[in-house]
Amino acid sequence: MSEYLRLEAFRFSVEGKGAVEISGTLGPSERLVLRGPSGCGKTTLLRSLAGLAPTLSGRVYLGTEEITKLEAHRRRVGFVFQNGALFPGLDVAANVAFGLRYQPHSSAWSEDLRRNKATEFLEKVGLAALADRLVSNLSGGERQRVALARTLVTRPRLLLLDEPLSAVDPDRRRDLQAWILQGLSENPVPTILVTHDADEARVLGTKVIEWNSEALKF
Amino acid sequence: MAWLSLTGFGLAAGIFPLVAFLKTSLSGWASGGLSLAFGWIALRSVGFTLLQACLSASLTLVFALVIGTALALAEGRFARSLRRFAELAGSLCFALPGVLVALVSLGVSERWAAWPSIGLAGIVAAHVLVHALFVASGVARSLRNQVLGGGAELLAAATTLGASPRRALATVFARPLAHEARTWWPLVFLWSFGAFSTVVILGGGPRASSPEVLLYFALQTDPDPARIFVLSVLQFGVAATLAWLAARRSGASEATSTENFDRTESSQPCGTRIAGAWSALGVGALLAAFAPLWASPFRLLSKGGLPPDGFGVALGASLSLATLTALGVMVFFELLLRAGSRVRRFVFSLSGISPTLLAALWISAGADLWAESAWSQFFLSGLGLACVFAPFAAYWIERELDRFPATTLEAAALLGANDSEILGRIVRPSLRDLRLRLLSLASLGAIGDLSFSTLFLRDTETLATMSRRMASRYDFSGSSWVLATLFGVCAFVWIASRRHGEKS
Repeated sequence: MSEYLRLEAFRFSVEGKGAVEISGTLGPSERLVLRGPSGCGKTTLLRSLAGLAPTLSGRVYLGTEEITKLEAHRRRVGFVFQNGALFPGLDVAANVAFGLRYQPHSSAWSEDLRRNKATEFLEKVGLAALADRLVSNLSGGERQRVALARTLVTRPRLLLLDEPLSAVDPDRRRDLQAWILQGLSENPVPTILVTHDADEARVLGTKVIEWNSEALKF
Repeated sequence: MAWLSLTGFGLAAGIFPLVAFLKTSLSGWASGGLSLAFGWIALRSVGFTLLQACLSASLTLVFALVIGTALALAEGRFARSLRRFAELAGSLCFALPGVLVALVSLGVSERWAAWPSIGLAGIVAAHVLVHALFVASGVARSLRNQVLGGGAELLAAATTLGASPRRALATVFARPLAHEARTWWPLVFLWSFGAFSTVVILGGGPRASSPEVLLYFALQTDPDPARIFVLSVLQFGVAATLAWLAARRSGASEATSTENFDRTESSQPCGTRIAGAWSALGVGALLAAFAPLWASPFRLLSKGGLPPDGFGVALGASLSLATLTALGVMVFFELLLRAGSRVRRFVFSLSGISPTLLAALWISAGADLWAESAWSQFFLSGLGLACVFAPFAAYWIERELDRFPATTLEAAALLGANDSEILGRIVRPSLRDLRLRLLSLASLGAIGDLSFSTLFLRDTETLATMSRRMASRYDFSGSSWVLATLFGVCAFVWIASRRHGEKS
């Protein structure tokens, strides 16, 4: 199920900067890279699109459905936080399997099946051996890889990546970039990525926005 | 579920006092007006209590911050054992006010067991003893979680920027320590302000009294509705105002999220041997200062003798009361967890409800007349003690939730979990340790309680009331059994709760 992302005069507030407006359409195979100085509002845009931060005006459509006023947990938007935002009381596999319980395609799965699926994704990010480990014992890079697996396993309709590989070592980063691209070619979803890494922007992005005004188009 | 929390707590702690308020004010008015009850003794007791609570909280923090920082910095097996020991000793102290009664009285006949001082100094010393190690272990845990996970990097960063090691330590620790001070000071103040046993035993008369103690005597020896009313309003008004201010201040200063929530003991601290030595010295000095207290059960036991009459019943009563209190606290904990932040802050502002005050208000409302059977007396006492612990549960829950990384909750919501699922699967398991700590403290508090045990359990003696009776008769042998058992039970409750926490 591939859907377009459409933003119609989508306005949101950036602390200390005022309102920013953004419009454009992103196809299911397109990946938009946001580039700009720290504090310009890139993460705020992602949070607003996910329903985690308030919107001033405008509309957001995923396919034909308007999601502007939909609650965050009903949007089926995948968000990879920069710090991973892993659940402290759960082990690695349980973190990855967490969202499967709530997705339409996997909500009826047994606990074992969900865990197997999680392990399968952990293998893809090279962390299957750590499936039973508590997340408090992971390094920064490992946390980001778990967060990536946790988001992609749920097959979101829109993927938002906030510097998802910033703590991953360069060799592993190239593998993960390739894996993300492969996953997105198999299950294409519109993707918005925040990164400060020019190489990453070139490899992963199909469109780039340089954040240099208060009205942006893509 | 917020309304459930409000209703439960309101019924238990709000409606009864309100009825009592109206009843006592009417009868007080009828018996000659409130001005008769509002004497200089009541005002003086408020002044004295404010002073002793201020001194107790400040001195406790001086000890606790120094020992807590040293404990946090120290590493190695010895340091871990020391931290555990400080935590155990600190928690046991919550049951000690009852023990204090016996020790001070025994001091009359046994010179070695005498308390160092009576009056302000004695009360403050007792409060420092009761709270310092408990707060120190809390400070140590918090510092290790908040700072030391990344502390090595922080210290290195400060040092490379040109700060001397001492300056770097100050830079890294100043803010977290200030935060710990802001968090603990109001709690220790409120505990000291509402203290009953220590003041009634160590006060030494009207020059060093408190509204709580005057209230107790107004109920026990010279029933006077107008006086009860005035003292209740004084006690509750002052404490509630301070709790409200503390909750506001705490709320304003708390960060909304930190990313260090899941740092655990496995994080590598930047400890030093000197810190280990300092912490050992601090804990040792505090324990040595009160050596007679720690040594008393062992010395008393060495004298032998049979357990006193009614000892088994008293033990059973104490354990029953502790169990009921723990159950009540568990219910309040679940309700408060589901309630909103405003409800929790409101409940914390009711910290002024101390055991004696609540018992007094319930008695004024006629609850003791209703509670004729032993079962109902136990039920009310357990509920009352749980109500007294509920505000602190609210405070701790709020504090822990404030520290919970916001992005973690947002991630769960984005993955499709609703509020109740997030609470059940993410938040609740993370607060397991806090829940166990609260339960063990409430149980220990119930075992050491004298207020409800004296005022409500009219037909049954607990270990605390038994120790008081024996001490007043200078029954050295009987007291030895009670004291030793109190220590043993308290240690068992604490160790069992810790083991369960580690397993789960």
